Amino acid sequence: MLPTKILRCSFLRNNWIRPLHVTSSLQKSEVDESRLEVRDITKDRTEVIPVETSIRYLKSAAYKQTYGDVPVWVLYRRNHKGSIPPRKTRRTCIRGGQISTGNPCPICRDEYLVLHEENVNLLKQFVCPHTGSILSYSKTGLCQKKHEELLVMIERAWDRGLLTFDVPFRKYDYSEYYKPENKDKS
Amino acid sequence: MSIFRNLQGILTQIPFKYNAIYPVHMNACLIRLLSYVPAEYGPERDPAPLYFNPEVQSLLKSLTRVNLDRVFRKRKLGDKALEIPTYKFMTDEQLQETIEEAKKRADELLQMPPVVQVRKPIDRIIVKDPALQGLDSSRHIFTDVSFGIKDSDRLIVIREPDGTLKEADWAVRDRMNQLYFPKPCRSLKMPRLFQEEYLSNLLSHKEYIFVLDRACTQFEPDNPDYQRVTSITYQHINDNDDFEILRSTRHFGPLAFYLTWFKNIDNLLLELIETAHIDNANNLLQLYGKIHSVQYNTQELQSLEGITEYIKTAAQKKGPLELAVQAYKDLERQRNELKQGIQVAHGLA
Repeated sequence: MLPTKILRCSFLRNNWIRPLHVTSSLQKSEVDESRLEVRDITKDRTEVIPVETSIRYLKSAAYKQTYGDVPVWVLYRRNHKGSIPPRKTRRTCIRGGQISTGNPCPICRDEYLVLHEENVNLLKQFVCPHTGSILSYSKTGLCQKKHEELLVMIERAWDRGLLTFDVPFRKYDYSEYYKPENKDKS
Repeated sequence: MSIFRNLQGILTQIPFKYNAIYPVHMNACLIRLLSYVPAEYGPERDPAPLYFNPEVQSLLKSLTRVNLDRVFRKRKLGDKALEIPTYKFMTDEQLQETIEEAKKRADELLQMPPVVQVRKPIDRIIVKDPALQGLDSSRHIFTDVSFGIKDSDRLIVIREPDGTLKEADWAVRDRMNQLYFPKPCRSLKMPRLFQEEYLSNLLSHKEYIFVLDRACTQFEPDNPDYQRVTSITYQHINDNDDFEILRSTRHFGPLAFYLTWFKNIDNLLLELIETAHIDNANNLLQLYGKIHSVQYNTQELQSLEGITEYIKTAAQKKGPLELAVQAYKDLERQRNELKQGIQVAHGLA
C-alpha cells in the first residue's frame, strides 16, 4: 500500500494514528536506532525541524522502512481530475503553517525531509543519475514552492562543493600562456 | 586548573616550534586539517619554457598512461536528452581508422592545463587629468568588447573619480571578461568550495578531479588562487598516495611537474616502483634531470641504475625506496627463475 493512500485513508477515518512509515519521530539515542516512536499524524508545520535531525532521519530505520531504497518522490502519485495532469503542480501545500491539501507533495508530507544544502542525501535524489540535470516537478510532483527551494539548495550545495558534478571541459589555447619567439628576443 | 592552562599553553606552542624547525614538514602537524602551505610558481624561475617543451610534454604524457575507458567516460553535463548509441558495421581498416581517430580525440581531451608563473599585479597609471576631478562619484570601467580579441589582450581601463585613468587590475579584468564574455561553469564570485573548510572536506572525500576541473574552469592558470588550490590538492594527493585517481586524466601531467619542480617525487617514485612501472620511474627521473639539470643514467628505460643513483644522491625517503627496489629485484629474479623452469620443462634450455 502506498503511503499516500494510507495518508488519504487515515484522513477519511478521522481517528487516525499516523502509520509508522509516514512519521516516526526519532529517538535521540544513537545506540538503538531501530526503536520507533509512534506519534499522531499532524498537519501542523510550524515547528522548524533542524537539518541535523533530517540528516539523521535519512540514515534511520524509520526512513528505510518508509521509502526503501528508492528516492522519496517515486512512491508519490499526483491527484488530478481526468487523465492528463495539469502542467504545473500546486503553488504550495502549506498555508498558514498548516497542510492545506489532501495530497501534499513528497517533501511537504514528511516534515522530517528538510531541504538544506547540507542534507546531501536528500538533494541527490532530485538530480538525474543519467544526465546530471535537476529533475522537473512534473516528474517529482513537488509543489512550486518546494521546487524553487530545491533549486536554490542544490545551487548552494554545488557552490560549496557538498554536491559534486561533472565539470565541462575547458580547452586551453597554449599560445595565450607561452610565446616562445618573444622569449627568445628578450 | 592551572595545570590545564599550562598544558594548553604547551599545546598551542608546539605547532609553531615544529614549523620553525622543520618548515618542509609543516603538513605533518595535525592541529588543523589543511595545514598545507601552498607553493606557487613564484617569480624566481619561470616554469613555462620547460613545461611547454615538447620533450617534457611527451614525458608527462607517458607518465599519464592513457586509458581510453577513463578518458571517454560518460560525463553528465546536465543535458536533458541522452544520446542514442549508434552501431556500425566496419571493415578492419575502418575499425583501425576509427580507433586512431578516438586516440586523437583522447589526446585533445587530455590537454594538460598550462603551468605558468603567478601573474604580477597590474599597477600602471596611463594619465592623470585633474580637470575631470569630481565628474562622477563612482569610477567608470571601459572595456573593449570588439569581436575577436582574446581575453588576455582585451583593453580594460578605469577612470577614477579623481580623474586618473589607469589599467584595471586582475580582479576587475576577470570580472569584466566574465561579464561580457561568459565562460561556462565560471562565476563572478569565487565559489565557496575553494575556501579552506569546504576544500578540506572535498579533499578528504578524495574528490580531486572535481576540485581540479572546477579550478580550471573558474580561474586562469596564472591566478594566485588557482595555484593555491592546485598546490594544496597536489600535496594532499602526494601525502595520501592517491596517484591512481588522477592517472589518465589531464591533471596528472601538472601533478608530476609540480612534484618534480618542488623536489618532492619520492612518493610518486615509490608508487611507480611498487607497481613495477620501471619505465615510468625512469621517465620521472628524466623529467627531474631536465628541471634541475642533473644527469641520471636513465637511457635504458627498464634498468634500475638511474633510480639507485637518485636514491643515493637526492632522495629524502631512502629507506622505503631502497626496500621497494630490493622487492622489485626479488620479484624480477623469481620471474626469471620461473621462466627458465618452464623452458627447462619444455626441454628448450
